Amino acid sequence: MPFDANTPSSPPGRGPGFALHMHLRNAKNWIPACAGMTKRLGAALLLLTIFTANAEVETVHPPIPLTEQQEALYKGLLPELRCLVCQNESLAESQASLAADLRYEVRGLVAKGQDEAQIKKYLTDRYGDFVLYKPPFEQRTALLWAGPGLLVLLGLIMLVAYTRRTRGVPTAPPKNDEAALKKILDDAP
Amino acid sequence: MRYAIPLVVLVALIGLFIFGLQSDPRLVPSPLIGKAAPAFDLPTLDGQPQRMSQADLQGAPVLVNFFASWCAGCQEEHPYLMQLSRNSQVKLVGIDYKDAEADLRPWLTRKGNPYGQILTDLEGRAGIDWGVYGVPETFVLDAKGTILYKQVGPMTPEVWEHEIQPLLKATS
Repeated sequence: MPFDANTPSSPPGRGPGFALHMHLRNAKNWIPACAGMTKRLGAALLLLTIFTANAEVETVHPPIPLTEQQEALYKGLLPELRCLVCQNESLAESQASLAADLRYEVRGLVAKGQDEAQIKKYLTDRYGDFVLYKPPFEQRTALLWAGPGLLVLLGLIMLVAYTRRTRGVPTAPPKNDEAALKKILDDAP
Repeated sequence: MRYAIPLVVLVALIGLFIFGLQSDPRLVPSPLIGKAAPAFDLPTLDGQPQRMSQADLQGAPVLVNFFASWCAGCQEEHPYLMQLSRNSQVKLVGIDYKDAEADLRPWLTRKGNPYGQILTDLEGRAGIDWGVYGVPETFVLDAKGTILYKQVGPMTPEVWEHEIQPLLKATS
């Protein structure tokens, strides 16, 4: 992380990448920006000159031991959960600090013996269906789920209607300009 | 006449795109609206009382503002919160989110303190229970502690006048 070395305001003991995180966060009005590597580099170049005194306190998460089965549940769950901050990343991928906090929460719930449904409920109770990459089928999401199928159906109906309409209709032979043709033939040596 | 259907489709698409462009894709609607405020037990900044819980928010309408001294949007809304704290009927409770006290105190001294009470959520656990995914976020609670509204991003006079005040009037 070459840019950290140049950033003077990284407090001791808060780990690499911390100062950049902070600049990214302060650069936006509200949502802390994602800490994807390319974004980090770009933002670092842009924001190298911005100095701010205060920084988010990153929570230190002690390790939570899991059994093999629990570990599998945890690893399986994370890619299905959406990071609220970097909305195109799952909780498994995101480097946002909220994602780290939520991973820790999920890990804690898994360790307590909760199953997939309970953990998903824990998250949707707080953040809504938004945290699920696969939202449940209900009235509000009906169009979302049925939409693609409906579009295919509509396409099929249009295709059938079109082929029915055009089938059996004889296409008129191309009209030739007989006089012109004759002239060409006559002129030929 | 043969252009009628494509024209209708085009107009419908333009309408859809305009609608889509106006909504904020990063706005996550809160499932907490209409529900009781989530349970919490947090230390206060001034230590009087030492800790506060969701029960302490009842009795009068409250704005619960998640903020931090490291957040730019919080600086942006700060003058308006000062104004609200001077002349409005609601109590302001600030929850300082993942922020160092050593950073917060000078920030408050420099800019002024709009809050009746400040709670510190150093690890962001209360933030998770409230469904906070960035700061600032502001929750409007009625006197019974029910969440009426959530503002994601800086509080503005427009939001206060057009969204929050009518809600508060309707419940009082």
